[in-house]
Amino acid sequence: MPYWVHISDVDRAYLNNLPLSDTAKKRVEDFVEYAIAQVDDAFRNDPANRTQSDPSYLQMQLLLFDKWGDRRFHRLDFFINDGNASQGALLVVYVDHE
Amino acid sequence: MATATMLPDLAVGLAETMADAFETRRVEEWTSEEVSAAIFACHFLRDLFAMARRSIEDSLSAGVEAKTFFAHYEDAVADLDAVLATVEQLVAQARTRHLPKLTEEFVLHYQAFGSDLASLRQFLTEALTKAKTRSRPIDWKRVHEVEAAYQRGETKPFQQLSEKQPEE
Repeated sequence: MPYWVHISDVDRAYLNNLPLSDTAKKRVEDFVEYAIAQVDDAFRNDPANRTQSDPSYLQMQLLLFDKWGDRRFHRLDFFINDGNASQGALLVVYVDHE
Repeated sequence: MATATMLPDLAVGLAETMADAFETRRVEEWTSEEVSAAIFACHFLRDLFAMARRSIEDSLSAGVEAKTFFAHYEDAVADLDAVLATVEQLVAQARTRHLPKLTEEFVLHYQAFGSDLASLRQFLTEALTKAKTRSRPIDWKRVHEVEAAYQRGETKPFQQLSEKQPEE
C-alpha cells in the first residue's frame, strides 16, 4: 500500500513554480507519487538516506535532466517526516531545488 | 543498466586491439578487409554508445533517485577516461605516420568514436556532479512550521495537478 504523502501549500507552490518545463514538472510529481509514496522500508531505514544532523528525517533526492526545457540537470531534495509511517502517512517538510 | 559496464568493456577491447596494432606497426600492413572490419567495428561501437547515451538520457529525463544513479555510474567515467586516453594517443600517433588511404579513413572513424565517448563522458560527469553535490542547509524553521500545520490538519495529501478537481 502506498503512503499518503502530505505536503504544505508552501511546498506545493514551490514545486509548481520550479524553473522546469511542464513535462519535467510532471516527472517531479511522478517522483512524489511513485518513489516517495511507495518507498520501501529498507530504503527508508538506511542511515545513508536519513538527514545527517537529525536522523529522524528521511531524505530522497530526485536527479532530473530537463530535455524538454533548459537541457540541464536539476536536483530536488525532499526532506520527509516519516514519524507516522506506521499509520500510512509521510509528511514532506522541506523541498530544495538545485 | 548493463550498458554501464558492458559498453566500456567493448570499447576497451577495441582500443587495446588498436593500440597493439599501432605499437607493432602492423597497422600499415593491414589488408583492406582488415581495415574495413575495423571501420565496421567503429560504426558498431558508435551505434551501441549512441543507444546507451539515449537510454541514460531517457532514464534521467524520467527522473532517478540521485544516490542510486551515482552508485551505478560513478565508475563509468573512469572507464571512459581510460579508453579516451588510448584513443587520443593512437589518433596522435596516426598523424605522425604515413598510412594507406583506407587506414587513414579508419583513423577518422576512430577519432569520431573518441568524440562520442568524450561527449558521453561530459554528460555523465555533469549528472554525477549534480547527484553528489552536498545538500544545502535545511531551513528548520520552515520544517517546524510544516509539522505544526500537519498537526492542525492544514496539510493536504499530495495530488498531481492534472488530477485536481476544479475548486468550487
